[in-house]
Amino acid sequence: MDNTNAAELLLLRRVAKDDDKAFGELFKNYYPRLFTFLFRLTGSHGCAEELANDVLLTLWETAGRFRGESRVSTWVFGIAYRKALAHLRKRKLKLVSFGDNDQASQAAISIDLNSQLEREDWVRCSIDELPPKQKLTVMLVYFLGLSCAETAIATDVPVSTVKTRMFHARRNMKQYLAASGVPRQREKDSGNEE
Amino acid sequence: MKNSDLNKCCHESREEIPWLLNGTLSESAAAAVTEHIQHCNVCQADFESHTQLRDAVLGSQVTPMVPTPKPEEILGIVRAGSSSRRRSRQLPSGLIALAASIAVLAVATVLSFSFYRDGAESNQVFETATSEGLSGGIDYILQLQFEDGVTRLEKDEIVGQLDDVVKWTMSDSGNYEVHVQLNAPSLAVLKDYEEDTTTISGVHSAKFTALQLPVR
Repeated sequence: MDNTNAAELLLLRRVAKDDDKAFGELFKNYYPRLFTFLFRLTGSHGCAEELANDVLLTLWETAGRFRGESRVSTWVFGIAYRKALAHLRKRKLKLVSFGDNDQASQAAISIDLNSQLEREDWVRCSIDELPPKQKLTVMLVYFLGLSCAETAIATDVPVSTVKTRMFHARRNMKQYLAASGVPRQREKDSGNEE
Repeated sequence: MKNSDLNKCCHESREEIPWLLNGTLSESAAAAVTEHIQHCNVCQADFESHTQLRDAVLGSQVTPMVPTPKPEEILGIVRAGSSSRRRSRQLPSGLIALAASIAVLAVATVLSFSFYRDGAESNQVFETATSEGLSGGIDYILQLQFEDGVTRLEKDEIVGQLDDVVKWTMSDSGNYEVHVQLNAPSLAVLKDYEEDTTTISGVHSAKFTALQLPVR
């Protein structure tokens, strides 16, 4: 077990015994990452703040139930995953482009594709269009850098499902770009469809 | 590398690309995938697609201003609503079961009505849910219709990415009847599940048509 996880595990044990100071330490460690992760998912400062608070509240309330079968960070991001998924489903948020607001994102869809947006912007739009579970999985892997096994634990699905979600996310991204008329970046992309 | 070798490890390598990119593959696995990609055009293209995906996730131009709440504020919320939150963990199990039973009964009643209305679609027998059904959840039957040209393998792959699936069967027409085990879902949750499933590439439609109590 690495030192960070061992230290966090000790903190979590203390949190389970209502130790405010230990909670403060974990709070400092996780709040910025959680907030940024949730902001990029929802595109809303308010929602990200509310969800991040909710995740840490759950951490406080359920610390005693953590059995140490995964890293503490995997467990925390698992809580974040479930909160974010529930939020996205409940509110049926149209996820926005990173850094855009809702209106700007919607407007961006309708403007001339090739001239107004760079390819990377379109890739971001395509991520926003992914089904929530695929988008969340992509974010856990690429934004938070979780391993395949950690992602499986955080999302409570088998490793094979994680791989399938990443596979479909990539395929959906390509289909979205093709349907949007975004020119292919490289010639060799063209021979790659499943 | 021979073509047969390439084909053999192609599938495995393609699956590992995201973790090659985020640096969490073991050294030996990373070396094997990298070696494969160098010799395989299809995997090279996949690698580039995933690289774009990763860069788009990481390359956001806007870094949000992270608020700086104090942990005491969060704990204040907990303690204002107070120990009741912590005590709520120990609510009598009978009370929880009663509340859940009511919820299941309500959902089952509404569902039964809507299925009855669309009765021609299904010959399922509807039963009234009881609290007994809570122990293992209830099977909700999702009728999954696929678009033309979707192969059996792809269909299984699609079902594999759905949550809470306990089993599925294929009809003569090639469509699937999928048993999804859910515990007292609201109608909104069922509808969301249908909508999420419909967005999957290759799925023509997804509709819950019945619920089935576990056989005891």
